[in-house]
Amino acid sequence: MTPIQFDRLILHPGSPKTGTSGLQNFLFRKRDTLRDLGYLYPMSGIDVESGTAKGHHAIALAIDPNASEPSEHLRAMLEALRAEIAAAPDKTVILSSEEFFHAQRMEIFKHYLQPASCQIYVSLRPQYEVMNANYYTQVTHNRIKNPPEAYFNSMKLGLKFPEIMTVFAQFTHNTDVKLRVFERGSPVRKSPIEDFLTVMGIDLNYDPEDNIVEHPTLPAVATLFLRWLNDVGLSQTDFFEVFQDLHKMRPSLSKQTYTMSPDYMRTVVERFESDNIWLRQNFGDGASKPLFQAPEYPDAELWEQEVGRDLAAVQHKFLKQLCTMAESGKSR
Amino acid sequence: MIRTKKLILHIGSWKTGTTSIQSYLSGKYQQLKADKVLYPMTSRRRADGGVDTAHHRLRMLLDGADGAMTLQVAGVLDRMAVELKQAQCETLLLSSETFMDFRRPETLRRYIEADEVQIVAVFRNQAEFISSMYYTEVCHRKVIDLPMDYLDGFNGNLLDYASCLVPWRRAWPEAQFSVSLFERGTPARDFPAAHMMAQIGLNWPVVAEDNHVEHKSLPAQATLFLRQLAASGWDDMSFFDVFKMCHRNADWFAPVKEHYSPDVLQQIFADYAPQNKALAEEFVSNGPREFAPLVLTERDTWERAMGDTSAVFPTILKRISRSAANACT
Repeated sequence: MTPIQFDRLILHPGSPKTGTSGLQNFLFRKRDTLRDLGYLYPMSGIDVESGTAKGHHAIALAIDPNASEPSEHLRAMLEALRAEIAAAPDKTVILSSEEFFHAQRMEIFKHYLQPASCQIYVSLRPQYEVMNANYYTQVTHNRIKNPPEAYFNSMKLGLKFPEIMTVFAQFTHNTDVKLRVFERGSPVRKSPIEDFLTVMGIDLNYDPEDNIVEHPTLPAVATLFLRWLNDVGLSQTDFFEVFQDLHKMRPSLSKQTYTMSPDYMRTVVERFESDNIWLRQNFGDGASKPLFQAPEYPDAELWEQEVGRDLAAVQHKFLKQLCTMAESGKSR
Repeated sequence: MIRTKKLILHIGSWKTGTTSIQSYLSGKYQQLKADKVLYPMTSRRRADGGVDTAHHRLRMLLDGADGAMTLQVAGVLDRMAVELKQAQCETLLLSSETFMDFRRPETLRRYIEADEVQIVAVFRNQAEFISSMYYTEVCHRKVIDLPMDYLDGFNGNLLDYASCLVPWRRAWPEAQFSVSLFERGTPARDFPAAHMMAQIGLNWPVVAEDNHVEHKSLPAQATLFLRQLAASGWDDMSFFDVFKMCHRNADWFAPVKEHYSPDVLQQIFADYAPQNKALAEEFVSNGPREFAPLVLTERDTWERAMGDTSAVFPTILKRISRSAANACT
């Protein structure tokens, strides 16, 4: 198909677990204001019905790296996008979906778009944090049953930040990649929306209340308890009710957030050290040091005591805790 | 060979306060001995040094030997004979509800010679029995079958009470059968230990504190909630912790005690009416001779609480998580 030609593209491909939903929701809600400011946040590829996830996930997900031709569905979305862009020829197009954080998809996607200039805003989070946060999402949203380490073992094989960053850099002949580091203390972690607006030079007022965080991550023990409910086969509705109750209990639950053990974290940090040095050299300040700060490892003894590797013990302990809390509520 | 003046066999059945009776007898070992009745320690001592309250192990050994005199059976009988001689008792009292489905009571007769034999048994109506057994199997043996699967696999012979007693009468035609029904308002149900003592002719003052209910049943939803924990492979200690919490918080569950629908229970009860008639005519020796009509939860109420077995675990879990969340806010 003929590429869509336009003036300027801002692409936000995540990465995942860096406040993407909040940013997408914000851009979607502010799309009229953005239009007045010269930006187009297209409707094509957005599933308007799906909660607060207002990114262009449908386009990204419809790109099949193994297919020789785009599907009818993808073709239709791209034609709709072409029409939207044609109707606003002077606008900078903003596309956002962490599903674009995928080298093979991006290799194909670049054949469909032909902007005169392109800025790619990428925020990267330390791999061990991505893995941990992803496990939570997989358990609570995709209802996986895998134990944490089995999931981490399979996931770390796919974390190839240098490869994907190289593809981003070559998206068009005139691409500028803005790499942001999503870690404790960094501006993007403090306020992903504000950082995006600032870095991309979008003159839009931001109120912290605009950052809607649907469900802050639950502590590790609650995540592992919910994994057990997946194992038991709770329906989506029943699961969600318990999930919401656990959110109300967050202040009373253990503060350990990592389902990943401190030992495993160390192996992840070591495994990706050279990748992270390469990223900083090529997309950061050029220093031959890792892109991310050294992690603050949880106290190993405390982690073993409060979380540990024994999944059965965690679920037993947590259900007993729930029962005890339910009992205490009656006596108040 | 054991030689005794009188042999008393308490053979059950299950779910008729047997644990309460056995705990009482075990606790009154010395007092019984003073009255010339031996409730033997033999076959109750465990390898870990503890003492069981009943003679289940003897029944297990006899069953395993299948009528033969094995070294283990001989050892137990020898030790029991010595204990009886040393205690200088005239009566040997054995209790285990597992004797109820012992198909070869004549084996026991070959090993124990008694001038007089009394066989004590109490029976509960089949509908209550099967529902109550399901609770016990889930909570104590961590059976993971759903109620109807458990019923399908249940040995129906155990519900034909008259037929269970026939081998015992064949083995000891001269025995005195003291058979009662576990009915509301009768001593057999209201105070099993006192009833037992009266049956064996020991009219001690049995006080109310002796009326222990060892395993008070939980509502039926609790059984299914706990069944899920068993199915998830919970270890005994954790399972028991939640089990205790369920006991303390009966209001987490709908007040329905039957694991089976009123229709199923009525059908079971009706199916065994002929056998119960034979039991009344041939064996029941005191108290009411027939089981009273069933008193069951109203059908719609039962359906709401237990109709969809797969919904019970999530329902209770949500109730608990909601209460816990409310306690935090």
